[in-house]
Amino acid sequence: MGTKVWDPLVRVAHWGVAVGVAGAWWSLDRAGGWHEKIGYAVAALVALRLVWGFVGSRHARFSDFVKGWRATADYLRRLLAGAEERHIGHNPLGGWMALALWAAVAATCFTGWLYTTDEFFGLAWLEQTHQALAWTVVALVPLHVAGVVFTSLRHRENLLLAMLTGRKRPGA
Amino acid sequence: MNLTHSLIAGAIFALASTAALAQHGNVTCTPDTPKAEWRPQMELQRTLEARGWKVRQVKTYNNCYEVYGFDEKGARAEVFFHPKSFEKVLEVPQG
Repeated sequence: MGTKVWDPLVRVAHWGVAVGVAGAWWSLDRAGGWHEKIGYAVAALVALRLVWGFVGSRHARFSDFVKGWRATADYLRRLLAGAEERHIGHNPLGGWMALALWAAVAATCFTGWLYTTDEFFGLAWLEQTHQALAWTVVALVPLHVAGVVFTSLRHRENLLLAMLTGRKRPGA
Repeated sequence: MNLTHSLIAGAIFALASTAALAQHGNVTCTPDTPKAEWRPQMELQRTLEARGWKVRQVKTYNNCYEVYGFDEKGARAEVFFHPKSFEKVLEVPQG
């Protein structure tokens, strides 16, 4: 069974946004306003997750996984030496990756919404900014997945499964 | 099958079931007209502005000129025009 790590909201927000990003890509230039609807749904999940980062369960909180520059650099040094410790929640690098992904998705949603307002509709620079942010998300995803696979192998646990079941092997 | 799995399955189904919808990604204007015969984007912009449009952006998309802006009635518009005849080919409905 293992110990509970990722609460249901964390998991639903994670997979909801993952499906939403794929859906946003799929809905490009399609009729029916799907791109916008998906964008609003993703934005709602991001907002919910942001609040949950302050009031959620232990490992959902930013205070649990956002580490300073020094602690993150120290972790990276141990990792390069092949001696990094296992974390039940995010490790320091994983925490920054999570933040980077959430921030890029949030900024993509925000610029997309701006484009729907009369003030900003049709402006080329905003469309290009929205696209650049979307590509940033697309570039971060393989790095995120690589981190998950690497850490899973290092600590002999299935982190993908943990994000589905919410559970991990107990221990430090 | 827990809550997460149900939500993922639901989302995938919702996306797949709308896959048959029309898309302006398929719009095409004049694949056979050589680019040399196209009239400049600026000419289209001036023509529309003379009719009372406010043009925000003109770009080339699938052998069309795609215009973003506000039409003579002040309504938001995304319209594809033939790059030689300047005929309206497709108007994307604005919600």
